[in-house]
Amino acid sequence: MLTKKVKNRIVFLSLIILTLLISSIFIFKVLQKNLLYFLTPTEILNIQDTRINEVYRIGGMVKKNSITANKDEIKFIVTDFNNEILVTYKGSIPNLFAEGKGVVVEGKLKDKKFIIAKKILAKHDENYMPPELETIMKDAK
Amino acid sequence: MFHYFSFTSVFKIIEKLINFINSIFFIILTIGLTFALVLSPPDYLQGETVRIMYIHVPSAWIALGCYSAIFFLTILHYIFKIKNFFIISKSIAPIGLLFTCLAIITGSIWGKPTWGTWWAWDARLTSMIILMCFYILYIISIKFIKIDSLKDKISTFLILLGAINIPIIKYSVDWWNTLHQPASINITGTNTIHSSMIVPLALMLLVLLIYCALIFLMKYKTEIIKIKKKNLFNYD
Amino acid sequence: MIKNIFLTNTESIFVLASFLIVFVACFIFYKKTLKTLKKYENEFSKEVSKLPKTRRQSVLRKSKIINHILVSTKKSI
Repeated sequence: MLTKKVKNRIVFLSLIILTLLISSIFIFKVLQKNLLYFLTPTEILNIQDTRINEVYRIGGMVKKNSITANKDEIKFIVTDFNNEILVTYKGSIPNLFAEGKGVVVEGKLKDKKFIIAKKILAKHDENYMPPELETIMKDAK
Repeated sequence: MFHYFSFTSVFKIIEKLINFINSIFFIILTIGLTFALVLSPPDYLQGETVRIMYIHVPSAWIALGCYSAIFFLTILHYIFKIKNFFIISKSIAPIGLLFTCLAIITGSIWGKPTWGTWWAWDARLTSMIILMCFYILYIISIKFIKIDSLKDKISTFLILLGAINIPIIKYSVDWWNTLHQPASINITGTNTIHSSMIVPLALMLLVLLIYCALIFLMKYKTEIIKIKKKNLFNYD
Repeated sequence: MIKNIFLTNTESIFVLASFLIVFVACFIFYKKTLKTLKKYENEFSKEVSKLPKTRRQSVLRKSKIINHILVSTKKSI
């Protein structure tokens, strides 16, 4: 049913798609590290050559009961449930920033356990529900 | 085998469909907006801001859907050389570009009160920008290249190259650490979105899909008229 | 909830802004598409009326679609 021309075109097309796929896989292997928007505390710990005073972005959960705020500075701990990093920050805080919620902090790394943040971003999770339901779920726990 | 796609029979259907959509569009729009802005509950964390999702998510879906449609049509056009497929993908492309831009803009407006920033160069957002670039390149290539054979080759290649981006957009939130949250709605498995919020989402998706269909039919009709005008002097 | 929307707290401004942007953009895009469609329809009917009479009749007899296009043009003018 298929003429020879059509067959040739199919072969040519699949060759192009194959080369594009393979080359893109290689490109993403190379870019893997740059594609991460933030590192987790564990990843920071595992990097061999962390440069002190360099700007990093670190993401994780705000540890429960770890927020302490005095006059104009706020301190809290970011955790990925294996390792933790202490954060200090001056400035405005996004509305959704809260204990037990996701957060991404950007700032200068002072050592592997301590970062001075320049910017805080709240990371929203994929759960959406009405407020009444949330209180019900909390009561159930 | 493809003579069902002949312009004459299609043209009548297009006329009827355009009239039909014009008559029902505002009813569905009102219902969708009532659900999205009034009847649906606010989110437990984001409050009212969650309503932006009701246009952001359908826009993003439509943007991806349009690209996938163009991708398959382009492959079929390349293999079987059916001009109609090219005309269809030409009519879809501007719709895809519009909704890619809208998804990026509404997402940015959502990001400010939720994340605390308008923009972040994470994998999801960056790959959406790349998708927008591919739409623009594709539209430019079919608009400004005058030689037909060259136009075919370049636009096909662009679409193939950009298609790599589609799974990256879809899975970027699972493969890498991104600021953007993972998908809430999965075809297989559980949804992490409450049913009272799925209804307005589905309705707004329907509204935008109908709008897309209307624009597509108008653009397709324009293309048919263009071709017929060109052929007007070739009838014998 | 409708109260919350029209109260100008910061959240509802973001919501209204994004909805407005989407609808304005969609409306402009619709108008633009309609304009080009009308433009080509008009040009087309002009071209047909320019044809010499005998030729026009034979074209109209042979191609149904041209009839359709002309009918839809007249309706929308």
